[in-house]
Amino acid sequence: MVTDILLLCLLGGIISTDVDAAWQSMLSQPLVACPLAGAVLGNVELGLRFGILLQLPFLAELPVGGAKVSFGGVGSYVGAGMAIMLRSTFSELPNLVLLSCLLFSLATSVALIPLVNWLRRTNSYLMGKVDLAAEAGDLRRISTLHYAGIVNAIAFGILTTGAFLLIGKLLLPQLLTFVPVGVERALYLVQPVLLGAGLGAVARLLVRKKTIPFALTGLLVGASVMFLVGGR
Amino acid sequence: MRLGVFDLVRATVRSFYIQAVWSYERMLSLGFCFALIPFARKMLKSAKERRLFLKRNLTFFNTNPYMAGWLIGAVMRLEEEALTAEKPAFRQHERFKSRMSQSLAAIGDQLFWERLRPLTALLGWMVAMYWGVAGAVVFLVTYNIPHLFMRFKGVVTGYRLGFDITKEISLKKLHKRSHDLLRVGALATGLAFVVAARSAIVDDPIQIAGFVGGIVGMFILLKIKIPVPVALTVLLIACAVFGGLLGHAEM
Repeated sequence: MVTDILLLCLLGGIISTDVDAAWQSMLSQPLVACPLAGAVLGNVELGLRFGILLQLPFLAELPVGGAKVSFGGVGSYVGAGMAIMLRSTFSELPNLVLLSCLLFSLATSVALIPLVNWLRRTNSYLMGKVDLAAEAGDLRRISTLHYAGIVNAIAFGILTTGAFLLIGKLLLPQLLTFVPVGVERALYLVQPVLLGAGLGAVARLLVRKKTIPFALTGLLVGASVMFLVGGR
Repeated sequence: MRLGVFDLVRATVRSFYIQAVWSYERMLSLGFCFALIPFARKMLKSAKERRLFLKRNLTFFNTNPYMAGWLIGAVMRLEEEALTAEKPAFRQHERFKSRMSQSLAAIGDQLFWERLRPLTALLGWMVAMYWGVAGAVVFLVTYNIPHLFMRFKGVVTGYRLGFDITKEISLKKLHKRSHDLLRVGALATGLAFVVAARSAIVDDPIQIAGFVGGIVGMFILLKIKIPVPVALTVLLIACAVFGGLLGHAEM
């Protein structure tokens, strides 16, 4: 278990770096990050389910210009990890585990905003060193300082993932023990509501007055295929 | 002496880390300069040349990370030309860099963040609903092929054209591409609606109400500029309370 959590933290460093410090290859998107958490902890299916529920809503956050966006990918990754770890202990409360881990992942994604701002302020310290190296015309030192920034971003990701996993591990089991079992039945709406919320978010991004005919065409084509195939 | 293919590849690979030392004062300046270092190592031999080069390229710089390659390539070309010019027009270079970085940011943000990312995520999401992890692979592949193409093309074309990248990056052409992506995205949204509805609802009117409530609720909350995590928290708490009330009524 300890090895799994360490691996989860290391992968968290890579995922956190992919958000904006490097690559931006979408590895940090919930649909990719959550199954990765599942792969580490041996439950890809639950990780994927978590990713499916959170992927579409977080698309509405655009890292454009000076917009302050939350860290939905990292939050989802931590939340998926927690859900998988708690699932075996609280197997009779699947909906409650899902809801509490979803809320925890949302809280994590918001809590990371000031921490990332702090990381960026430490980059200003690096920039001071860069100016000294520039004054000396030292190209090698400039490269080294940049590599230090990359290592710093990855280390930040590893530490924050570990810290939030620890908080979740201490907090969520306590919380789940206190919630009455009857609440579990009341949570059967979580998945339909989240799937709807995801579509609402995407529709706001991609459906405009001019594109309504295209959306309706998609709807008709989808419905026709479903009707013909008669599948799920 | 000119840069070879290997130097351009090195500059491109370094551009993947352009935001690693993002600072409030100068934003991407260090990342931009880091991508230019293979050029400086090869072309600038004296300490004075290197010092002036670093000072020129460590000024404020901000753009979309996927589009930065265009300016990295163009600046390498302009710096190369300046080496043999009698009176290098560095002030003109600076103005060009500043103006182009803003245009490239606007184009990149719209093309990648507002269009390509939602579209490819939606495709991956639909595949994931039926074929599991294959959806994540579809998302990664469909997003990263155009992304990597743009990064490499940017550096190579920028280096080939220098100032003339303004002719290559036609706003009109990119806007057309962006509108095409929007249409395909709307089509995919329609399809995704059917996929989600089929998997979320199992002949239960309350679940149908929850699904529709999620769509309408999220749409309204985003319209009044509520951040995504807050909007989702509101919806989740609402659905827990609503589900609890219904469960209580049934008992």
